[in-house]
Amino acid sequence: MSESNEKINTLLTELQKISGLPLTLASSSETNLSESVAEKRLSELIDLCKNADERNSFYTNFLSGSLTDEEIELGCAKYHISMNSSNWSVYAIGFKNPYSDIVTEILTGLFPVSKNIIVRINRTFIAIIRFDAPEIDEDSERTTAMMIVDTLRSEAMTDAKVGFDRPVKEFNKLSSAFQNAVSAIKISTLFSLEDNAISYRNLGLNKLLAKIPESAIEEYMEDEFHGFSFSDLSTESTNTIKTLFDNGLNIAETARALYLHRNTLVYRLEKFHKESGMDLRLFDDAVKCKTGMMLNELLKNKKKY
Amino acid sequence: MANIQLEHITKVYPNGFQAVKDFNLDIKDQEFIIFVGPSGCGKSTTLRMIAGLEDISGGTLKIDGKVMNDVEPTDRDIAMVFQNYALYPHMSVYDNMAFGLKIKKVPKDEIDKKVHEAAAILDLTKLLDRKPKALSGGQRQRVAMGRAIVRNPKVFLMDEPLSNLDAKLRVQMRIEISKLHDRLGATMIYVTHDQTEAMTLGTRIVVMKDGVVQQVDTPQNLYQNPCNQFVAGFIGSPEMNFLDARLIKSGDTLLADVGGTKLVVPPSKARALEEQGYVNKTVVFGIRPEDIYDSQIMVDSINPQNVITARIHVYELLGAEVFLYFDYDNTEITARVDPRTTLRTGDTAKFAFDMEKAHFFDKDTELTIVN
Repeated sequence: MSESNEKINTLLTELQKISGLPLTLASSSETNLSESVAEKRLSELIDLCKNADERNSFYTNFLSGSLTDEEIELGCAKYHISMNSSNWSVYAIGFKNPYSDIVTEILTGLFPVSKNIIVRINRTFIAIIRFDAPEIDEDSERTTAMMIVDTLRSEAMTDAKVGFDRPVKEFNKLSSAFQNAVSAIKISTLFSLEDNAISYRNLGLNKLLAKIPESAIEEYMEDEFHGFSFSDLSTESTNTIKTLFDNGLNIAETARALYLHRNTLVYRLEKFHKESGMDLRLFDDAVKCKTGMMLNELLKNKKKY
Repeated sequence: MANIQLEHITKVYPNGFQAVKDFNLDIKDQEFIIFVGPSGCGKSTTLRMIAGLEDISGGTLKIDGKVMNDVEPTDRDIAMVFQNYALYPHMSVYDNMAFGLKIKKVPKDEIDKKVHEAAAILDLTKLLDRKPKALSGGQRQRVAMGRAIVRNPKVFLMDEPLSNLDAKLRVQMRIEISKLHDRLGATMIYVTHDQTEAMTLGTRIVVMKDGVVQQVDTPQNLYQNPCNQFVAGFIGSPEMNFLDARLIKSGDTLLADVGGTKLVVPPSKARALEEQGYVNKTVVFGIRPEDIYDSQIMVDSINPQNVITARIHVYELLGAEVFLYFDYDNTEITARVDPRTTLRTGDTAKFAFDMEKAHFFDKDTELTIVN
């Protein structure tokens, strides 16, 4: 093997390590590249990959909140990040299982590099930073998050949860927005929320309850519900109660949403009243039940995760 | 294309919530199956289990006889279309359709062939060079469909793909999807909460509630022969009117006492009610809005005992039809009548019930006694 060939082989092995791509060496007649040009191109590619990797590490550390202000400034200068952008937003995308490379390719297609940065936080989390993002309302942010979820489902056949917080005016504040977005995903898992697009701002009571220690929840459940178990409720009862809450305790609206005769709904509520002691038509009992159901869910999931 | 079998499929979430219970269905090749039901009924969960996006807790899923429970979603030979579809903004229509194949390293000439074939099916050939922002809403939706078609899958799964569209585009796309099914001859499973979409698209409809399949039938049969009160109320818009009725015998005639009016039950229905022991019991009487008449001719021709008098509290003109709302026996009743009606809000009028079209349900089980 010639000295040049040996050098190319070494570079190829290094590139393979960095990129994770399986690479093979072709003969110069197949590639129409002279050995010296091939060597130069490979070196450039290695530099590019290293740079991209370092850049990704910078963003990961920055979003995780582990950089000082000075380090952030240095990083921004090094990677030509304009801190003067007027509007920044960040989406955290969480996967149950490690995501494939196809996922990052799809996201790059959806969020072109000119106005977005895709950060591979780890094998199950990706962040999308959007700069100079237009002033958008929460509905549009939600639509974007849902669009990410549905596109990944249909194109990569993978399920993801997308968390987001409100856009920020300063680059430095992106870190806390990202951490809130990640929290949103975690809280949604703790409460088994069905939605895959989760706004940190809209988690309301869930955010507060998630902070209560397990022992305090257990004590409260015992004191308030005296052994009544929300876990034993049938799917039908759970759906009925949830729909009643979603419809502001309005019996007519709830019956309509459930495609039930009003009398059937009233019968179900009376049956629940008898079993649990809570009359959901009364505001106080409804609040007690709603809190109890949420805490019950939280307790089960806290033990699991 | 593909046959799909769902045998005793269940989904139990880690928190113990049973989202789908004992789901059984045999989907034939080229069928257009609709999963319909209210929010939280388990229809999307079932679709996601077929797709492989959700684990199956129990039961067996087979595609073309092959068990798919543990097969990766990418290896199931399916394509999915969801409501929040997005096109790649900086790519042409061609590249948008080709992208999924490119990242799978499909050879260029094969990609080109598939994209052109799909474009021809969707009437997008002339738009292949355009960017998404230069497309109308309907064209964008067709590109999203094109991305699924180029995969040439055995099964198409669609989860409320039209929910985000305005009413007009929705109707247009509904027709497009129906034509697409005819052209592709593919097996399609379509999830919707909209019963109109279900009725117009499906060869068969699966009605679900609380994770349980209520009825699987053709649109026509679901409408005419619902198996229970839920299906009767869910299918049809405006929905079926329900009133409590006490069944009493008067000589040879069976009467349904509804708020003091004794409606005459036709012999064929009376026999079924009597045989099942419902005489002197309270049942639920159901009548569809179009089976209540306001015209003088109908009022005169129908048994006078089946005519009630009520005051109209809302008149709603929809162009080709009029909905009249009135209260009877403390229940709001809807009648769908001819737009030439002279009745208006505040009028007191006679309404005739076509008892041949009446439905009766058990008050406790909510199951149909007779349609």
